[in-house]
Amino acid sequence: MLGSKSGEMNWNLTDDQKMVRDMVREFVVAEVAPNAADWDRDKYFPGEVFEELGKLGLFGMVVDEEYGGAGLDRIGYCLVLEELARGDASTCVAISVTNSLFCAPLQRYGTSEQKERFLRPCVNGEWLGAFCLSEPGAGSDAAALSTIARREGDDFLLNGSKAWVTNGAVCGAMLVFAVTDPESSRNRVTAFVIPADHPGVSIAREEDKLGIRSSRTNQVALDDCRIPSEWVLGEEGKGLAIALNSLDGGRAGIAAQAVGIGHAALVFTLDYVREREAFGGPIGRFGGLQGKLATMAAHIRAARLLYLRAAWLRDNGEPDTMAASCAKLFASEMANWVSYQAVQMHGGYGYVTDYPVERLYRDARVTTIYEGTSEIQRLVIARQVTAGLG
Amino acid sequence: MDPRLSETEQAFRDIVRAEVSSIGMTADDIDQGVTTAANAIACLATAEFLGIYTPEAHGGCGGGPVELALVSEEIGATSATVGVVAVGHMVSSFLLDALGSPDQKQNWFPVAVDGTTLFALVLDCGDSLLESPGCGVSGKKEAGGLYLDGKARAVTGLTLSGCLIVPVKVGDALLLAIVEADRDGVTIGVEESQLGLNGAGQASVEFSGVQVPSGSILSGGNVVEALRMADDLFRIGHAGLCVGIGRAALETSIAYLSRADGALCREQSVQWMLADMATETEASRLLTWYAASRTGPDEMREAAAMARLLAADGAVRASRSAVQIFGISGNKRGSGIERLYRDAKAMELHHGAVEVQQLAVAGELLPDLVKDPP
Ligand SMILES: Cc1cc2nc3c(=O)[nH]c(=O)nc-3n(C[C@H](O)[C@H](O)[C@H](O)COP(=O)(O)OP(=O)(O)OC[C@H]3O[C@@H](n4cnc5c(N)ncnc54)[C@H](O)[C@@H]3O)c2cc1C
Repeated sequence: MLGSKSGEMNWNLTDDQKMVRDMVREFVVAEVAPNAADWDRDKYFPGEVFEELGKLGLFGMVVDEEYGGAGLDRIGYCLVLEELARGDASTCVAISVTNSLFCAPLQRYGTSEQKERFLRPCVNGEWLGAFCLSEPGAGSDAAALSTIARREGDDFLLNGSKAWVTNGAVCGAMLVFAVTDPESSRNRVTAFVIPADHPGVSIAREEDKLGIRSSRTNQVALDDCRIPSEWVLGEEGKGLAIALNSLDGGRAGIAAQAVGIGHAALVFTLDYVREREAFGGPIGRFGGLQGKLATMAAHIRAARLLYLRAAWLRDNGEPDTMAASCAKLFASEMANWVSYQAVQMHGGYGYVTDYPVERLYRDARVTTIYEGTSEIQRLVIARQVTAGLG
Repeated sequence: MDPRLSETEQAFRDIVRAEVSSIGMTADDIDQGVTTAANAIACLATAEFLGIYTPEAHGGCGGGPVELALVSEEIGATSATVGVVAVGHMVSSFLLDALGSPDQKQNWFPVAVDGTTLFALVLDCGDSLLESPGCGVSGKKEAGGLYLDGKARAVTGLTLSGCLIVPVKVGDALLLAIVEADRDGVTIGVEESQLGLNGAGQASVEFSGVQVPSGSILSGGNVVEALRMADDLFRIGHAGLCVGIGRAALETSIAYLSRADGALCREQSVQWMLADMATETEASRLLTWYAASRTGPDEMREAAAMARLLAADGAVRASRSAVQIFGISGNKRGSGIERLYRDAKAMELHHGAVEVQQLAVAGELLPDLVKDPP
């Protein structure tokens, strides 16, 4: 009477989702993964590989077909990010920022002229996008921005300094968040879309990072940068909402990136424990290591389900704030723990660059920091579960 | 992909939730031995969902692993003690369905479904079904049937059950025997007071020359395969119970905060505990549902062991945080809070300890290096 035979809930991917995942997997295995260690060592941004990724349509995955994009759903998009991160987390973040934090907000809030001008080149694989919210003095507390955009007739004049800009030195255009109404608490910030080569925009600094070293992270200076009001994205004064909504959408993607890193660390470690011998046989025969590996695998699987669920919610227009934060928190903490264990199981060899787990360990580190630190995710989640209390 | 429960699954879950709430009041009494889990299970039986693995023709509700996971979460959120007994009972029904003859089904399903007879599976609670089937109960075939000898140390639900399902080794073959608890030669120990899962009727049992008539031997199918499946169902059921404990820890904490001084839920230490409880419980739930919706047996095995592993850990962490949030009042016997913590810890040991689950997953990851994965 009550029940039904199981099988209604389903985790099956569509043919399209599988196709794009497999296509990217193939590319990553051939062109990305084998070079990731060299790029990391040399802090080399592999422009020639990005050219190919652009041709595959990966710069505009989330853009509607109307503007020539792939119109890929969030699930498919996150699967692609996981595949990229399995090969190289640096490559992954450049693609992720372009799609989640540049294309998606433009797609959602942009005018058709803005989309033609700024989205088309992404879709055509001509340029990457960047997202300039953080500043030297304002990270988690995004409302504390100090970059100013002063209205002068039909123009805005921007001054200030943006920090931690992924793709800063290699993008074609950037979203910039600046204060337009310092007196207002609710309508203080406005979003702008600005070509990277626009006068007054300059790359002030290149960060020397612990991980994702072949990605570009820059400080961007805005000095009397004059832009027309047509480049305001969305409503004037509503910039913070645009930023937060974009970050919500990006979180499942960062979770997918973390899963890719964790997955790669597990796979390399499974190989290693078969190969490495101690006390008369492969170390993988030790129960303590087997137990660790099993727990790593369980956490990776759970993190993947969490990001798939968050992506599904967004695809279906359901509230995803809580799910996306849970996915990001769990997956990024998982990637750190898993890659730590991977290094440990490699012993001394895990500590040197001969084996990829050393890089994975460094690359995992940033996932609990950017697009909302773990602490901020916890605050978001706690706020959701205690809504209405206190 | 659709990671939600279907409408029927949701409706099912809602009915179960409403029914299970009726036993909530007794959870601490069961823990303290004032009443028994059998009474609570009789209540659940009237709601019919103990019959998930009983075909509708025999009065059951004919569900599958997803329904098992849902029922388990609901019971686990109320009383994990009742949960482990109920899961054992339901998995016994699965074995009866998989291996029983029409006559045997006719004979036992009615009493199993209406809860008048509880079924317990005889296996040491620390072991997985296949690892040491029957815990060393062996059988000899003679005129008059099968004669059982051997013992098991700690069988869940034993003191509450009317019927035992006993895996028996006869030479190299494995049989399943249904043995009434009051049969001559069956000696059941007393339930000892434990850290957690108190009142689950856990005790030792000894069989000395117990005669089992041939009509009580379940042999209508592949015993090893059925036991494998049963093992995975146990994992899914127990993972569900752990998810339930995690959920109860979160929900009771939130309810407590709503009564307490509002400043408490603005404390970051509290907020972070809530966030981790919510995140880890959700992760365990998704993994449990995922495992329950696998159709291939190998896939289900790996996922179910992963779910069991993650969910038990999540339950311990969540219930520990709940005790912390309640402070000294959560430390009080009978508060219901410290019971969650004790029960969660026991779930890490109970029927397939953490290490057994790890070995099962590792067996899939490193089949060449893991010896005899369970
Ligand atoms: C490699 C890299 C790439 C990045 N790319 C971009 C990008 O493309 N665009 C962009 O805009 N930004 C980017 N960022 C910036 C990133 O999003 C910020 O670093 C992050 O939001 C944290 O801000 P912060 O560094 O100022 O740290 P802070 O906000 O100063 O935080 C310091 C510590 O305090 C904690 N903390 C802060 N507030 C609270 C609170 N309320 N409660 C409890 N703890 C708190 C934080 O969790 C953290 O542990 C990037 C960062 C890195 C490292």
